[in-house]
Amino acid sequence: MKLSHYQWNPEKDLIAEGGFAEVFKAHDLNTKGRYVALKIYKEAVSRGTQGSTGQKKYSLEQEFSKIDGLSHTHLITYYDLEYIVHTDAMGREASYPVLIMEYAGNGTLGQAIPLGLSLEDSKKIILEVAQAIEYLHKQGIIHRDIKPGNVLFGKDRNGNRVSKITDFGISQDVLSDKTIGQSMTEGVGTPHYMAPEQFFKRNFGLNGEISERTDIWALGIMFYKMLTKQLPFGHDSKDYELTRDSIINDQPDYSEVPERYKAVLRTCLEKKAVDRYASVSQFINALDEIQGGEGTVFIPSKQPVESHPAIKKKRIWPALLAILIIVGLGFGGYTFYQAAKVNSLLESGWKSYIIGDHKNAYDDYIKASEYESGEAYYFLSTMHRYGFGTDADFEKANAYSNLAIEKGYGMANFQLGMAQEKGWGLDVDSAKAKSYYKKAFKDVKKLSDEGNPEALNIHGIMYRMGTNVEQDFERSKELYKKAAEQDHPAAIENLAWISKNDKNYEEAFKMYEKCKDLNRYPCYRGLGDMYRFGQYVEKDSVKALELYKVAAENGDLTSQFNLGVFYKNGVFVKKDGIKAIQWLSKAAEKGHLAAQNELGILYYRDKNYSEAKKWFHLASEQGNTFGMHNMGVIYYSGLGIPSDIKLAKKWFIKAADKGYANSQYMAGKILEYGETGETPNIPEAIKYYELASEQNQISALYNLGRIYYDGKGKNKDRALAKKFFTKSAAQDHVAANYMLGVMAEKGIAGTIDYLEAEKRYLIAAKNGYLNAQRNLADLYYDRKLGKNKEIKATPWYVKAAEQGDLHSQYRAALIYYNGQYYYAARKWFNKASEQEHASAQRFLGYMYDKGLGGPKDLKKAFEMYRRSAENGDRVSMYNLASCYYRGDGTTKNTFLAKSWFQKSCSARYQKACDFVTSNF
Amino acid sequence: MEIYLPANCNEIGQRDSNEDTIYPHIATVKSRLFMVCDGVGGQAKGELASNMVCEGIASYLDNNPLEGVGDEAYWSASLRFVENQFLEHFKEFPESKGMASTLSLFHISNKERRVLIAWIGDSRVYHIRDGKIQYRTKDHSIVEALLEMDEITPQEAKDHPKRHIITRAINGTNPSKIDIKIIAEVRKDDFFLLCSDGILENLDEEKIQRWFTKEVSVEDLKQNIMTCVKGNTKDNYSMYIIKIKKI
Repeated sequence: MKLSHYQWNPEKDLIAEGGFAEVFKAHDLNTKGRYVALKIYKEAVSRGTQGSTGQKKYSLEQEFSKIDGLSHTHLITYYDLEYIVHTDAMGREASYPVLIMEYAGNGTLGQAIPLGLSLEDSKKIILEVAQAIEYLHKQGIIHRDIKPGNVLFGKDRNGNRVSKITDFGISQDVLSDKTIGQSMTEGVGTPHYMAPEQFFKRNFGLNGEISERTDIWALGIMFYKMLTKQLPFGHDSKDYELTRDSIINDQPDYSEVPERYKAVLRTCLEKKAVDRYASVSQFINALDEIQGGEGTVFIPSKQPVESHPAIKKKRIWPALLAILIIVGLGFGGYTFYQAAKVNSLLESGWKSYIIGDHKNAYDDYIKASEYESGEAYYFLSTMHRYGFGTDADFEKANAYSNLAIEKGYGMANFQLGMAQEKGWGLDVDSAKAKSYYKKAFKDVKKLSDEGNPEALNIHGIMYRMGTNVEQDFERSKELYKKAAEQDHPAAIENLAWISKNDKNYEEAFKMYEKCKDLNRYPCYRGLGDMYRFGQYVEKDSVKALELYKVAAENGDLTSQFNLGVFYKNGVFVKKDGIKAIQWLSKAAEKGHLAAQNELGILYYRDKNYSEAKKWFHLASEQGNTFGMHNMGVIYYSGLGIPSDIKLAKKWFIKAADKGYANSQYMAGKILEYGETGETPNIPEAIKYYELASEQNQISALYNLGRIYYDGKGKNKDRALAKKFFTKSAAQDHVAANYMLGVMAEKGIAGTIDYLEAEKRYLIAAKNGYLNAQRNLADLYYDRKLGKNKEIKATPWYVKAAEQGDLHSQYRAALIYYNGQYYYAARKWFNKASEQEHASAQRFLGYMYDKGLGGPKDLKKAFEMYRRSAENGDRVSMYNLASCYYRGDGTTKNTFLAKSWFQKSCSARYQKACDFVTSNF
Repeated sequence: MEIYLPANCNEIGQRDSNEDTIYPHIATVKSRLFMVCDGVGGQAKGELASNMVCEGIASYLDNNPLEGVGDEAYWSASLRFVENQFLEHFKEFPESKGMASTLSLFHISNKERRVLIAWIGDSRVYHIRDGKIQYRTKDHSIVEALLEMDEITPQEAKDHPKRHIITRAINGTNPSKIDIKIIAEVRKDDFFLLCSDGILENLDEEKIQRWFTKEVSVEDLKQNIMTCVKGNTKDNYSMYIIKIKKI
């Protein structure tokens, strides 16, 4: 067979066959020795774009245009889309689409897995595939069907195996509606690589939809299969339902998976898309972090430890000291001396620490750190994190954690995990956080088993949060209790918190009291909360405030933030902008993101935009969503800076991707109208609107409604539009109410319902919405609500008229005219005439002509008739002709008179025709 | 337990072939096993599939007599028996591979006052008491699963593009699973309706509730249903209506 310059033998060159297409290897006759792959679809499409198969052809070409030109080392390149035309015995033509693509002739991953892959090969292949998928995602394409059969192998110039992803971008649905009528048993296959949201998108999907994370799931399944030769779900099953149910309900067996890959796979195979890696890039990073074998060496994070002279100095000291002492004592003696000394310092530090004597504890730990004690570094990190006995400083805290890890104190990984998760001096990155938690776990467990109170507490936290262990509140509580028995203040606080959450207020209160006596300042806040909400104790805002203040003054960031917000909003205290700024600044400067944002808002309200921007920027840079949104607002509105919609868009999208609905709406709006000056991107806009509307964002709901109403970028669907409008209107969106009014009045997506229309218009009209005022007035005027309501039209016409609505000006004037309120009528006819309303001009002319609502003025009457006539009003043509004929307000001119009478007559004004017949 | 003479239909609709099979072909008041099967898989293979399921299960029951209504193990074994027959058949006629069938089954025990319902796919069994649906089988279909997970509303289900896609069927190659429901409380004048999806296209549950009143006869019901289905469904349509006469 031959197509264009490709030739193949259908008997011999079949490489693969699926339900929809056959794939052949073909010679490229233009280039000797070059092969391509031809994917020939079994379903014919018509050559034009008419009819259903024409539609298919159109859709197919649309999809092809999206993938045409994509290029990545690990993607099969698509060269072209052609058609093979068959003519049957009846002379009918059928064209079969053919995708011409790169040929990769070294088998598939599906064939390689059963033969066994080394760990290195597995990792290499999955990384290659992931990179290709990452590229596709950046192009806005979700693969949806990643599986070993779709990973082909080619060879590079050096003969090394290279993976290449195929079957992307062209959905099977385009060409086959066959599946729809078919049972699953016919070739649709078993769904082992499908993600939960591909079955139930609302339950499992990201915002109820298929997303990039659907591919991340499939990457996870494929990697699992490569590592174990087994499928994690439904391995032995060929049954669709059983496999699906397993995917939805079961946890994979990770026992065969190498330890270092378990965490990565777990994150890929989270049932809910929202819990998986947010992007393939994160998956790749997580894999990249994994080096070598089981006993992974910790790679220090990029924290600039060296740039902290204070710490560096401490590291030189012990070295000097060591030399001096070694000289004196000999090596063995020194070691013994050192161990004893460090232990006594650590012990004394801990004793001070638990009673809240942070100053002395800090000193002891500093001294112990001079002997490079990991445990000392660990506690120094904690103390810097919370500002215990020293300044709160996240950077120092993290640097100390790194030192602790260097010295083999693995529990410090937990601190870095927390920092990474909460954004304490590090970027928020839950994947990295997880990997830290994982590294911490072994040491935490070991020390906790030995009864170490700090480790018991951390171990409790891990069970509480389900980090690296199955979440288990009971187990967590037990561990806290054990730590609390040794007077660990944080454990006591944790227990208090749990009791409070369990509504066991008495117990909570006792615990908070206990840790308050240990000078643990967050416990002051805990007690403060209880007084504030009247839990166990009588509500007492004065007492609450007092406690918050103590905590705030002693460096408790949350309390500082709370106080700031209280002063800002006037809760418990008199509104006081200065005090609000003072407290918020304290927390903000220590990196409290929400405080930074609130501070920005305060400055923003003060119109101090540069200061506001500074704080928003700080907050947003560390991942605070509101900060990002507010940056968007500042750039969008050009507050204190030149407006820059492109930058605004960037910030809105950042916040939008973190799930903030208002930003999603703004991003959608900018994209829909191309406000950046770029071409509007409707599909992307709709995506953001949809995300925002999931959270009931009022304007996004309205805009989606409009999109479905107008069929802009989506098929027209008035019923769906109504749904969105109704949701938006429920939150009092004015235009949405108006649209519902229109739909009710016209009976769109429902029956005609004038009462409903009146109700909807009224809401919008009262909010000053011009179109609603006019339509409402029309509704009354046209007597759609009965004769007796006609009178209600006037005030709404006047309101709309005042907003410059021409139709309403005319109608208002007409109502006044008919009621013989000539002065008012003249006023509105005048307004309408200014906008060249022909009928209004005629009326106005007539009023001048007859002296209605003011002095008679034939000149003005003539002038109005002339304008009206020129605007096409046939009566005015007649009147104008009469003016010329009689010389009213102008010089007599029979010729012009005749010509205007004739014009009026041609416009079918009978009176004019009669006049012409009898007088000319 | 006694029943009135059951009513049935097995119609081709507007298709070229009838892939539905019912069992027994002719029922008496003594009949105790009823089945409606809907075959898939073009070129007359769908017909064969549904036929093999009906005959296979009936013969298994003949050769492995039951005391009561049976249990899951018994009916799973009957399914394995049928699947093996499929495999045997494929050995001789490999081109038949891909054929498949649904199953809806109703079995009355002579010894117990219980009845058993078993099914695979989207052929259904209803238990109706004086206009109230006491029980209906849950289809093994994409749409049923979506409904169960609250992914779609019943309204959306009606014209869902995937409403005909079933997720379980007997096809020999992929061992299937049979679902079982034992109904212990059966009363005089209770109805059991077995039907293929062709019937359900035009018979909604509102009609079932309106028509299946206790005084009505199975023949009258059949007339009602036939009038409403005839000419309106493209698919084959088949059913069995059984009414309990005495407990």
